[in-house]
Amino acid sequence: MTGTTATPVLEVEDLRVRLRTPRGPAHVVNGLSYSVGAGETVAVVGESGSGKSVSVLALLGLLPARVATVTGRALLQGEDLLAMAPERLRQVRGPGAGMVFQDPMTSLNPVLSIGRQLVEGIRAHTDMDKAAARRRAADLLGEVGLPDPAGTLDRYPHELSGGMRQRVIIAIALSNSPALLIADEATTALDVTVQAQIIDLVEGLQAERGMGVVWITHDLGVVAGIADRVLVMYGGRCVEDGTVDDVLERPSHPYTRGLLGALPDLAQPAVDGVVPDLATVPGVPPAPTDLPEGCVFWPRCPVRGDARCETEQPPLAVIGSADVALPHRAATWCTEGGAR
Amino acid sequence: MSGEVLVSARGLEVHFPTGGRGFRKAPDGVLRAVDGVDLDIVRGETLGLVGESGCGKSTLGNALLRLVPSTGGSISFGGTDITGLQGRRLKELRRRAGMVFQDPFASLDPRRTVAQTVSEPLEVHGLRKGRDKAARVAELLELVGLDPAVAGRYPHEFSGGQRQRVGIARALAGEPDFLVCDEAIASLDVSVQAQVLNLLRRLQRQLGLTLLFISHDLSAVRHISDRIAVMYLGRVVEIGPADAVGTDPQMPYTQALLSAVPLPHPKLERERKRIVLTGDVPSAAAVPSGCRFRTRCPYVFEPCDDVDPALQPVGAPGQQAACHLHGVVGTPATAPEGVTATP
Repeated sequence: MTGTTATPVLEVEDLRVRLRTPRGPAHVVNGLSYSVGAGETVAVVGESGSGKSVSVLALLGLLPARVATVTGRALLQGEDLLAMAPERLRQVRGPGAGMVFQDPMTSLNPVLSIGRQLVEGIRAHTDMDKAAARRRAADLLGEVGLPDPAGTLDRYPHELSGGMRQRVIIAIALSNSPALLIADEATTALDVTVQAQIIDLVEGLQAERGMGVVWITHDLGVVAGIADRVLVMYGGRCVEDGTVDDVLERPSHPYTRGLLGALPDLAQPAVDGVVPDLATVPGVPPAPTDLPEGCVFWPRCPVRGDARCETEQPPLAVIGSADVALPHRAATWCTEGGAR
Repeated sequence: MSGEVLVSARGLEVHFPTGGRGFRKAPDGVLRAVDGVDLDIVRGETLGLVGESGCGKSTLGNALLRLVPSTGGSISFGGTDITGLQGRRLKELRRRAGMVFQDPFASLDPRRTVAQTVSEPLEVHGLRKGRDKAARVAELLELVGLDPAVAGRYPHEFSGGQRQRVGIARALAGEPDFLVCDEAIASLDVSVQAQVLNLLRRLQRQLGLTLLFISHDLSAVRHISDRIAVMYLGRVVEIGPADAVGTDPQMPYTQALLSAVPLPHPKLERERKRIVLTGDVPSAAAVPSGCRFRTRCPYVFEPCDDVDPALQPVGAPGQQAACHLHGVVGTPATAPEGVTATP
C-alpha cells in the first residue's frame, strides 16, 4: 500500500476545467497537479462543489464538450488523455482506466441483464467471442465476491442489493484489467458494513494487480483507512496535500483543520463526561462562478493571519521537510503550527 | 435511565402487505418494517436511533408520531395512549410532536416564503394571529440562527444548511415537547453538518426538548445522543447510554457496525481490527426465525435458530442487548403467522 514507483500511472499537471453556465463561466477546477503510482491510492477529498468529481470526469473525457473547456496535461502511462482523439480515448477507457461511479442504483442500465452489461465492456476491448466473454464475466463476478456468479449474469439490477450492484460496477470497471481505477464516492451510498466490504475488496484487488487508485470522497474516515496520499480540494484548488498521516494528523491549512474539527469523532467524543460542541467552519463554500480574489478560503477563514489573504493567491508550498518522497504542502499564507 | 417517560412504545408493529402482482390480486406477503419494538424515551433526553438502510428506523420514527398506522402494539405520549387517537386530540399531538425531515430541498414548498412555511403551524393550531404571528416567526428564525430579515425569501435562495434551519424552525413553531429528526444531517456537507448538530444540541438544552435522532451516521449519533438504540430488521437489538453502547457494545451486530465506521485517524485505522460482516441484511419480508441477526452473526450457536432473543440487561447500568451470548432469554420460534396482521 505504500511507496511510489519510478513512472507514475497517472500524472496530472495544471488541470483546469471551466464550465459554461447561465450565470457565467464556472471555474470548477483551477490548476490541479498530482500523480498516482502503481499500487498507490490517492484520495481526493472535498465538500460538494469543490470540483473533485469534475476533475476526474474531465480526465476521462466524460464532460460534455459543448459546455466544458478542459486544459492542462494528464498523462496516463505516458499518454496525454486530454490531447487524445475520441477514438483513442474509447480504447483507453477500460484497459487504461476504469471508473466506479457513486450511485449503484443509477449507474447500471435497468433493462439489460448484468451479464450483457459486463460482456459489452469486455468485447469492446478484446476479440473474445460471446461465450468466452461470458466465462470471463462470471470469473469477474466471482472475483468481486458475488455468490453464484453464473446465475447473477442472467439477473437484472433491480434483483440485486446496493452492495451487490456496487460489486457489479467494480467488476465492470476491472473487466479490462485497468492500470488505474477511479472511484468517485464509490461507497457513499452504501451502509457502513457494506462499505467495509467494498473497501476490503478494492484493497485486495489493488494488492493483487498493482493498480493505481484515485479515490474521491468527502469522508475523511474512509481516507484514513485507504489512502497513501491525500489531496484536499476547496474551490477547485488543491489547498493541502501530503501523506495521509501528514494531512490528517498534522493538518496545516485552516480549511483542513476546520473540516477535521467539524467531524463528530467516534473515537474520543467526551471530555470529563461532557461532549464538547463541534468546531464549525462558518458560512458555505464559494460558488465556482464567483470565486473570491486571493486565497479561496479567506471569506470563511477563522485565521486570516496575513495581509495577502484577500488579495494574493497563496501557492502550494512545502511545510516541514522538502527532502522526502511525498512532501507535505499547503496553499495558505497562514503558517502557524499545524497540530490538531 | 431515570426521569419521566415521554414517549413509549410497547410491542409496536408496523407491517406492510407486499406482493399481489397486478392490481386486484390480494397481497401475498408481509414486510415487517417494525416488528415488536419496546422503547421508552425519557423527557429531556436525546435518543439516537441507528441502523442500516431498511432496518425500519424511519418507519419507527413515523409510527411514534402516528404518521404511519401501526398494525400492532401500543404507543403512548405523555402518559396517554395515542395508538388510536383521532380528530382534535390527534391534531393536538401534531402540535406537541414534530418532525425534521432528511432532505431540506424536498421538504420545503418551493412556492412559499420562509415566513409562510414557518407560520403554517401557527395558523393550523390557531396559536398566533396578525402582528403576533410575524413576531413569532422572527423569534423562531432567530432561534435557529437565521436573520429574521430573510422571512420574505424563498427556499431556492438558501443553501442546504440554511434550509435545514428553516425546517427546524417550522418544527419548533408549535412549541413541541418531542422532535423526531430523521436523517436531518445526512444530505449536508461535513462543515454544515457540524453547524446543524450544534444547533440541535443548543435547542435541546434551551427548550428542554426530547429528541429522537435517527441516523445511519454512528459518529454523529454518538456525538449528540444521551442514549443510543440500535435497530436491526425491525427490532431494537441493543440500547443503552451513548458511552456504553459506543465503547462497549454487547450485541455482535453493534460491535460489527461500530468497527465498520471509518475513523479519521490513519494510525488508529491501520491498527484497528474490523469485523467485516458477510452478505447483506435479509429482507424484512423474510425475517429469519429465532435471532434475526443469526444469518450474519460470527458467533451463531444452537439457540439462535429457534429462540427469538429478548432485550436483557448486560454491561453498563441501563444497557440492554438482545443476544443469547448473555444467556438464552426470549420466546421460542412459533409457527409462521398468516398474512393478516393484528389490527
